[in-house]
Amino acid sequence: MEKQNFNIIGTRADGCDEKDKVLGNVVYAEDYIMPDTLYCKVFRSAKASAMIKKLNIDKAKALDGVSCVLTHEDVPNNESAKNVVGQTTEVGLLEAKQRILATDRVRYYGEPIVVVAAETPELARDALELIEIEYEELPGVFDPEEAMKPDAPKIHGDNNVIANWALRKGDVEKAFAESDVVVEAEYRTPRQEHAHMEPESGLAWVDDMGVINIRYSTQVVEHYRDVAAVLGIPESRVRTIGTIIGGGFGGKEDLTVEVFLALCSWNTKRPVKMAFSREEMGFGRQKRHPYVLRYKTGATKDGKLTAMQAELISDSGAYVMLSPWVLLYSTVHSTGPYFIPNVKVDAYSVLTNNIMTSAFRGFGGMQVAFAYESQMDALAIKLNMDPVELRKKNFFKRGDETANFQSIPSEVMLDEAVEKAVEALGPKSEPSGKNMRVGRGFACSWQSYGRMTYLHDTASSWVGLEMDGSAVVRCGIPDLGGGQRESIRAIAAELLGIPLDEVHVISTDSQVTPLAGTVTATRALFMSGNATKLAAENVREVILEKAADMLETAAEDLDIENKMVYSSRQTDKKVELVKVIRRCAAEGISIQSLDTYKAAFTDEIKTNVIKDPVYNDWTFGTQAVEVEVDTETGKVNVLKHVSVQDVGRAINIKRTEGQMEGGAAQGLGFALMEDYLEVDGVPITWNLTEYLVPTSKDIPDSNSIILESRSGKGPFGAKGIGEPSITAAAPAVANAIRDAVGIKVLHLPATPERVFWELQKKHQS
Amino acid sequence: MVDSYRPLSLKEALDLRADTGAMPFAGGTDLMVRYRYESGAIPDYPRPVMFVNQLDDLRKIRRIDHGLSIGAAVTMTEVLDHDDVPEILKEALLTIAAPGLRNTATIAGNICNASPAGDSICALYALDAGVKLQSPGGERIEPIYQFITGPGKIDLHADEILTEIIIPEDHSTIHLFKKVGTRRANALSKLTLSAVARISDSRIDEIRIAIGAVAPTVVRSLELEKRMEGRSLKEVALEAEDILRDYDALVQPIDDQRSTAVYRKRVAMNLVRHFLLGVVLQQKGA
Repeated sequence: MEKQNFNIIGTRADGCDEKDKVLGNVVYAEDYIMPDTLYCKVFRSAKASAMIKKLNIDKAKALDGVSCVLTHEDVPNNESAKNVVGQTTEVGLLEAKQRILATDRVRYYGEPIVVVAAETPELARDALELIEIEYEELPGVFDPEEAMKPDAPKIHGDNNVIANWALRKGDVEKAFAESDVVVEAEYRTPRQEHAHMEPESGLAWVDDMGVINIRYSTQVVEHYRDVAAVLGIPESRVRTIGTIIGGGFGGKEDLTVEVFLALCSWNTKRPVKMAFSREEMGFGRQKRHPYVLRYKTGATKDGKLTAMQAELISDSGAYVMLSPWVLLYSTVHSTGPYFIPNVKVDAYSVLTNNIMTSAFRGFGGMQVAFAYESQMDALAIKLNMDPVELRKKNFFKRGDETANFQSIPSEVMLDEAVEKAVEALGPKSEPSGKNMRVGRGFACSWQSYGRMTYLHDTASSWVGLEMDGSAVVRCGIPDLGGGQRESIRAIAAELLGIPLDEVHVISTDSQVTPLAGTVTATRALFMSGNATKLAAENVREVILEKAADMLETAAEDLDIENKMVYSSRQTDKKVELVKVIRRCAAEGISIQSLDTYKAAFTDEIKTNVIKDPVYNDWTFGTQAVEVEVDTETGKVNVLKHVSVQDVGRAINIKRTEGQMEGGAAQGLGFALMEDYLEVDGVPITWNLTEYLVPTSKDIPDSNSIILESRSGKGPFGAKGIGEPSITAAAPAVANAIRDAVGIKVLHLPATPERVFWELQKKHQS
Repeated sequence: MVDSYRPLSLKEALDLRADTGAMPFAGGTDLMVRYRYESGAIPDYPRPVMFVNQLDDLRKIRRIDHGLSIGAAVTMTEVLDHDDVPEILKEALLTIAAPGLRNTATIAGNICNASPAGDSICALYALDAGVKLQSPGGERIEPIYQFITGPGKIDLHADEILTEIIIPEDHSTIHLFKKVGTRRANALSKLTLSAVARISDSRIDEIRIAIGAVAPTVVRSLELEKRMEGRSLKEVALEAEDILRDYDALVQPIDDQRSTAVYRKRVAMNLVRHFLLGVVLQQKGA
């Protein structure tokens, strides 16, 4: 029987690294150093679209203290890097594969061209300045809709549209004609930067067996495969070792520093380290996809949704990266958590000469949430109906079919979520001045957790007991800061009846820890939690069987708590865990287990129209805010914030709240201020002086309310919370601004400028 | 690398300045940013650096005849903690950066950086502040609006150090400070307004209006202020639209990554209008 009485799971237990993080004692990737280490830097394109007419690295090579200067000619397989990370099969449209180093053409400002390694960071920088380059500028295209036109400059091949997905359900034309109300609008979302505190950084060395070791900050330990492919060496000769990560949010999901480090250390046979500068994190790294979203939504006068039609266009930047998958997420999630009988969606991902775009917390779910939840409030206004009531009439129920014809497998607690969120805002605040207006809004969201099911996702974990009753877990998931490692630890400790501090988790070494996939897609707890649960249950079963022998009772009656195996029926029947372990050892019974969890498997998608299940399950939630708008300046301040999420089961309350608050803060930044601006592909918000993320003064004390349906597919009914925590923040803000001052917010971020002009327009009309 | 000095007296500092052209370095919060390479690398100073925080002569806030003197190495936090500092300057300082930065940054540094978006500068214009400039050969006092000559440009001679900020006694009865930024801390201004006025017997005795980040330097018009001073609220009310039009002509902002020219202009003028019509002319007896 599955263990039900928990001592650790569902508590607010401290993790092993929390104090050290606050005190600055944690060792991050950039802190590692070895004797004779070289420093690596990247020479990048200063043009958004150009041919490289001449490239001369002789002077850089000749500089004293420079160990290697590498161009595309030095990269064995410059174009072999897979765009689809961590996978065993390639899926998608991979024409626009990223080069490790540019060959004869650059397609975005910041594209890597040369990589150097030198004795000091200053020498590496000096070497970059000695590189001579001549460009011949090519016409560029910087607007995805322009890029879709037939005569637009082509970034790769003969078509800038690199992905197209669609939904077709029912007959929208007929349904709109029969609808009592229809609302239509065009929405735009910004190019958000991950802005994690820790830059991409690491240290690589070749060891005495000729294996390249890369210790670095990554969400994907499996990148050793990509490195091996680039270098043309066996995968077994590349080892990646993860570190505690100072934030990633999807920014450390694609390739970052590992290939540059490997190339330089392979060429010099010396340790090499590098860290992106903050500016390089700006122009040298992917962002969130800006979207244009055109929505049309219809309903009956009673508030039942009848039809939804949408066109989604995403700016993928100059290379494909994960754009097709992000677009797939947007497409499937575009309806919102609502049952709509007629749906027609066409979605396009388009290449431009802008900075690349790829994975970012929410993965295409946020952009559509802004649109579908703004549409719901627009409908409520038109119907003169309470927006809560309108939504309640349309929420999915467990078992309902989505627009990709997939049945919702878990509980949908949105009725509870929306009620609690609105209630928790409490009494309405008084405006702080004459020109101030206070308003409230909320938004509901759904966000899948786990990978697309056609990717046949698996995760493995190993659990073993020591002779003193402590335990070790090996599982290849880097701790992204969400407490992934701690969740694994809690699950093993709970099932084995061991105190938390006697379980050690080794979480990131590609040649030591069983592979667990990536820490992305809100899948770590779901996948690795389940794998660890399986492995720990195997060990638990061995212990209980042996203890049953020793106690002459049935294993089903036994449980383990605080390193004591005891019978729940007869209190005198108990034996110390250590004694059972010793007995197992004496009899040669293994008290270790390696197990693999398999997610749902479906067939590969073969058509652009998505007609089959693609996700495992969803997390549903609501966020509500109260804002104050300064009508004189257009500045919006968030006064209150509430997030209510059904996380299935909270493995640790404190870290669940941490995810909910962090996601909300990042979502509020997306709503109000964050946008990585470029002019004709050239960035103008290079660093954190100009690219502003919210500070603690911009974010109110967040009220995080956890619901537990215990119906998820994760361990003990858990769902995922990493990404779902961000999704509904922006539309909640947009709806609150409309409530405060009666303007539509169609273009994020809702900067003072945009809000101010909308207010002017309203006054004029 | 760069030479650095740590003089032990103001006299030694003045001599060093004259001899080596060293840059006075107090909090360093502007200098380190201005001369950095990229994050992680050592800043590349074009001239020697002279640390001045240890100089007692520059660390004092003291009352002087008809006003207050703030030493050039006094931090913003120390200014905020001082009872005699005018309220509008405190309000401005509270919008600058965040506590950690204010614990080391100085007003003198803000002035010498001479950004049109400098928030303390804007308040100092409204307070009619001056700066004391000392050299081995003597000293002079200049009004801040003359000392700052353009974006990043100041009238500081090669042998001079800005040693004190002089703020005349603040007799204002009303004031308004407003900063518009993208976020509530650590944000450079889109625009700022600092305005003070002294009203008695329905008469404007004194009025000063300063607008930041809307022109190459902070906008303040002595002429328009004179036009209002000494006149009754009723008289000024009749000419208010005319005066606002004249301010409008002075507000000449630009587009940049922080905002747009049109927004800056409209909002700046709304704030001036708000101060004049919504605050000043609403005083008793108008």
